[in-house]
Amino acid sequence: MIALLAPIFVASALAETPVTAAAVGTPAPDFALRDLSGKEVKLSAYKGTTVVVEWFNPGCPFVVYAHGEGPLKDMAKKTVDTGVVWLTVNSSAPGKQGHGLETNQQAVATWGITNPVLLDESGAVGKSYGATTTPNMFVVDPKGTLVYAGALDNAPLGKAEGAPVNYVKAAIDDVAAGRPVATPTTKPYGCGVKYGS
Amino acid sequence: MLLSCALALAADPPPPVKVAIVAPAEIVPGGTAPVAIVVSVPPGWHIYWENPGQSGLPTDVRLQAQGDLASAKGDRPRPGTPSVAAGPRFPTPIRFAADGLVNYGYEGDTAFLFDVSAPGNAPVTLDAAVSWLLCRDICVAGSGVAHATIAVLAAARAPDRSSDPVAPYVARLPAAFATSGGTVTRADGTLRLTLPGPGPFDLFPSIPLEGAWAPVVTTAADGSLLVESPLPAAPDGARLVLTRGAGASRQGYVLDLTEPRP
Repeated sequence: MIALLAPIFVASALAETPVTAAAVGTPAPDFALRDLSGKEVKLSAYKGTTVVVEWFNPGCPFVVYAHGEGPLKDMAKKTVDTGVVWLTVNSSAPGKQGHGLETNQQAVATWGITNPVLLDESGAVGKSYGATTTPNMFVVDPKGTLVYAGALDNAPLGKAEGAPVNYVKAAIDDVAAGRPVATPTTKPYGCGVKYGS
Repeated sequence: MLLSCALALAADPPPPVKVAIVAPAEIVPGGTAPVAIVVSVPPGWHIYWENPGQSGLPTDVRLQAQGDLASAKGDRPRPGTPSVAAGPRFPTPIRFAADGLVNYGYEGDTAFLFDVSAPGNAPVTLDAAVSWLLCRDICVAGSGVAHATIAVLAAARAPDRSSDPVAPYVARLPAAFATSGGTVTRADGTLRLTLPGPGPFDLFPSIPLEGAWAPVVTTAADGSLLVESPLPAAPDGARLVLTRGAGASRQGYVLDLTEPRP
């Protein structure tokens, strides 16, 4: 059906195929990426454990806010303390904002990030998840099923619509309690992931 | 060096964004007038529509009105105080596609419209506050304010409408779909919509169009746009903006997806 759009839509709309989201309720796409020390980290190695996957770009103001003063300031550390694995993935392409080993090492030092930061400069892993924004968050349950995809919370840059809700925390709590995730998808907000063209 | 560039972004001088209120100079007592909050961004940058698309953030525009009762020179103010009756109404957006993401927003000068009512005889003081996410290949969050005052005329005098500064901005709002020459039907659980050509056409949902929402868009032999979609369980206020034409002749039309309720 997309092809039918082609003759009538403005050219800019057709320049690229939109990134589409991985389906919640299906196996999370496996990946193997290197962390900032060069060590390979493979998602499937964590089967049996809940895994949070966070899309990251240290130059994005939403990421700067969330890690600098917002909800990601200590959330990963606290979550890891409960036995959950937290993987941060950066899909910025070479030449784009947030790309590069040194940039990410600097971010890790600035924000005291202790979980692995994985580099996905080809964007292949980001696109397999349909990661569109930073921060776009995913939760994988111990069976390897994607159980949450979407926003970190309902408060972009700390401005909540109504009572603040941290969707990722809620999903982790649901998995830990053996409940279905009550809110399995939300619309992610933030900067676009800086994929290569 | 590279790393300091990326992390120091917030400390760099942000690209200049201007916020201004464009309002009629005068309003009649008891009258209502449209007021535009104009946000101007530098070339190459854009801000976002109420549905920003796959990334970004809606531009947040607020307007407060206050009556300066102290200066109401002996005229007895009518009950009630000046108020912002409706808004913001977003102008017809444009589409951005980059890095595989589709976004909806604005370049250049963008006017967000409110209706302001002045029940009394006192001047109306307006305070606008806008916060935005400004993006090109990178994004910068920012905010700004603007202030203005509208005089309220003596009831006997008609306002000068020969030069309405707000009219050009009102023209940028999408018109009612009913004025487009198109048709819309809701039957058998399906929304069917036609819009006569010539195109090009585009469509912008005010809420994410996903899953069961995904419309099938085709063109008829006569060049009309045809849209078919399962009737969405649309939340209040959900709208579809369709555009026809290009450049200066591009016109937007807005269809309320929740009226009438099936």
